[in-house]
Amino acid sequence: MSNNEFLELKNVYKHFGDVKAVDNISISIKQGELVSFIGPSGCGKTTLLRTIGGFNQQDAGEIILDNERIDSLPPEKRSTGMVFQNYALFPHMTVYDNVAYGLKQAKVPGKEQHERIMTALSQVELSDHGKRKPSELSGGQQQRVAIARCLVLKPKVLLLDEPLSNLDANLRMALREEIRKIKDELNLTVIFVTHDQEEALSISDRIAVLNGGVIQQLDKADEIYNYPSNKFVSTFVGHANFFTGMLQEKEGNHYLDTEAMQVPIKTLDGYDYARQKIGETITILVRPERVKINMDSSVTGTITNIIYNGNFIRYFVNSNGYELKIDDFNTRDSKRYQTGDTIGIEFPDTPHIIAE
Amino acid sequence: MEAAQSIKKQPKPNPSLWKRFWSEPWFAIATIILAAAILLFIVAPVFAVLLRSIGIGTDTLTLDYYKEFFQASYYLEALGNSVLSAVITTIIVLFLSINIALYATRMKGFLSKSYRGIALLPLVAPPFIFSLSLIILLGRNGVVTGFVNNLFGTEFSIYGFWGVVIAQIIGYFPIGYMLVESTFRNMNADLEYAAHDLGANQWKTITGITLPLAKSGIIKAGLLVFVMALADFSNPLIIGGGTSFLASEAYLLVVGQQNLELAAVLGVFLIIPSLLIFLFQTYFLKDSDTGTISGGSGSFSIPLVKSTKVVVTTISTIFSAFILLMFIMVVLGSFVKIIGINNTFTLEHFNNKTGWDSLYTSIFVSIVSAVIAAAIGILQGFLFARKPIPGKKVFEFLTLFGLAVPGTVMGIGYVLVFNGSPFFLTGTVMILVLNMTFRKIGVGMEAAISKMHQIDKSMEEASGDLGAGPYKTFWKVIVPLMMPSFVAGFVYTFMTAMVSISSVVFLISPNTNLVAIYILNLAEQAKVGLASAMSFIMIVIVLASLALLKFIEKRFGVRI
Repeated sequence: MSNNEFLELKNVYKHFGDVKAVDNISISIKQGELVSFIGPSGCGKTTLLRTIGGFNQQDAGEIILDNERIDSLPPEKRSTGMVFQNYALFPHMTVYDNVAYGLKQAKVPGKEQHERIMTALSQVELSDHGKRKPSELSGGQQQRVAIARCLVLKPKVLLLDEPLSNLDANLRMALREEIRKIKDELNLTVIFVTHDQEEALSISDRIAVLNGGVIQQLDKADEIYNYPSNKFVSTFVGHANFFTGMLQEKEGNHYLDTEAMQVPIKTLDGYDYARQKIGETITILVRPERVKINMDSSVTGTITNIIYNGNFIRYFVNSNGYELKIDDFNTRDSKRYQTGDTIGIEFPDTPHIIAE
Repeated sequence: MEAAQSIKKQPKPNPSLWKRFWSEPWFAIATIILAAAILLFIVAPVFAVLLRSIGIGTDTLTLDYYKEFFQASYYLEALGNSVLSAVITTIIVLFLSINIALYATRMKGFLSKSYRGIALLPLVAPPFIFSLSLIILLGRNGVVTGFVNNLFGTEFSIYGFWGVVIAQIIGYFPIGYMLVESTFRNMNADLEYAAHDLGANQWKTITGITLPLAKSGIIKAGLLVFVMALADFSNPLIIGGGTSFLASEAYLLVVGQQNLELAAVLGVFLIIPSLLIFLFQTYFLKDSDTGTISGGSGSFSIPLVKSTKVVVTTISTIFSAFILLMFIMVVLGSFVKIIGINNTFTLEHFNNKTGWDSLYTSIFVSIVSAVIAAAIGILQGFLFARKPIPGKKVFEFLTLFGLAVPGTVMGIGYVLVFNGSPFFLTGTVMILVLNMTFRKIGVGMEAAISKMHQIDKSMEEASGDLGAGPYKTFWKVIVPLMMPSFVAGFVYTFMTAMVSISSVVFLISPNTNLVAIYILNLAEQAKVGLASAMSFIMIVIVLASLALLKFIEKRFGVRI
């Protein structure tokens, strides 16, 4: 087995009665990689994480960590470190004792224990908070204690279960960067479960989008966003305009003939272009920010609603009965439109075909 | 949270508490009546006992009765026995509660559910019924006495100190168990998962994380069991043999010698520990629960693994089997001629007019008390949770205090207060109702207050906004919403009233005998068959009312 596959899941199943929480999932994660599991609630992301940590026993499948099969070991025998959504700090112990807990279980000698605790606390910048009780810390500090408590044991994989969901927006951003920094410094392998797509996009080396206990797509953030493999991924990550229609050609120009309009297409994106044939019905994805307002365009529509978002302005446009979204980047000087205005719609040259 | 507190601390520009109190006169009048009732039926009797112990109410103010108490080694011995048996009972109950609660919260399936049910079973019987079972099993003519005698080669006797302890352990086990179990259930399971993840095995997790976190719940359970066992008077009467215990001696002093003064002194020694523990619980224990409950984890308690499972399962199984055996003995005892000697089937023990009469009295008294207690609970919960009331904290304290007073003390107090002018109530059904009602209203009030806090205030504001006055809002909005609390309060009070004994035993007359007391008398006289038969009927009735409650819960979808 090569070093490429540091943590490997092979055909893992976990069903709760009729609910297929994890349904035949296989995944390989490299050492030092940060992989996010995202999906709506009930998609199986937390179950999968807890199965890796040993809190659930999988119904079938193998889990291999650093060339060792760990899938039948209890949590205390796996070199995984879990950070819980609600932190799960021991409220009756100080910060220092919380971090010391794992070392005591491993019977690490006193002097080394102290040094490792202080290192871990300084890694999360809480060196002078050792004597406090968890209840005397802020949410962000509690979260960092939870991380230090895992780091001190030098786990092979750090498992984070929606670690930022109980914090306010600014703190979330700051901690996100901090986790990323610690991960890079220590070359940690990290699995990060979240339902927040923005968080996943910003922090991850790769993202696994889950739904119905199945990995819908596992890819880099940019791939997931721009080349989603199916309709679920396209709507779960980012916003989407879908057009379904028959691929047509007129005088050397391709276009998609939908009921509402003819969407001109210069080139179809990527891998599935060669397979598409004239006359075939396909669905394409166009992100709202890739649609432009261009008064010269032959396709027109009427603005029905406007939402001001700060860095961009979203126009809802009705074109011949089809409602589409256009995100106009806010340059401060860009032209503003009003509800009821008729505008021209310019489609990107390379839309992305997606599977139904 | 912090913001709310800082607002609270600001001086309120309110006109005056009394003015706001009288702004809704009917609620004010209801509050005053309630307060007067609490003073008369909870506070006055306790004070009467304290005063009588120093001679007030007789002719002279004196400390002679205390002198008598301390000079007679007999009573000091009783005090010692009561405390020692309560300590032993508490320790063993806690140990068993922790084991069975671990089993019930971590294991799934039929056995786990049955153990939980069996653990709560002793609640449906009067607390002394296990003395009766122990006598059937191990008494002089007990079913297995001969076998045990052969085994040890000596004359074995269950009568005495250890018999009392065993009976108390079973009788008071459910109270400790319920508290420990709910503490375990409310605990954030992720804390244990975290401990495992950090390398601790289950033993270390339970001893290092689970138990320390459950500390306050376990202490609460222990204190409650201790107070109950200390005040226990029926088990010593039945199975104590010649050993003296505080509460039973107080009873014998009143009933046998009419010596109310010395009985009051014994009562003071019963009430001091109860009062201390009550104060400790109210003021020191409440703040320490932080951390055990921090919900939102959604994960279940970790199932037991091999080594822990073996130990916990063994202990749980043995104890559950023992409880079941106790009940089986009573059932058998009621359907055979003389159990252990003549085991032919008979229904003759059920043919007992005095018994049935006392049963009807018990049911009547219990239902009336339960209705009143449940209604008062809702009214008081509403008033205390919503209305400005001068001295609210004091009355809340006094209501709950009623729960902490040992039954023996309350009973002696009722005799002292209501056996002379202006209240000649002894021997009437009314005094039984009043006693049972006011000893338990604290439970209904606490439940109602917590339920009121779940009902959003905006509901009443909306009702007011839509044109209903405060009284109409109470009838049309609050009362219907509080119905589940009413039913719960009713069933709880009914069950406890049916099996209660330590207080009402002082207040009955030949015409108003209660079944629990009647069974106690039968058991004292070793009329095992009759006692078993009446106990059996009583258990069936209490179980049936519980089943009815479950049915209502299911049928109407209300969680009670």
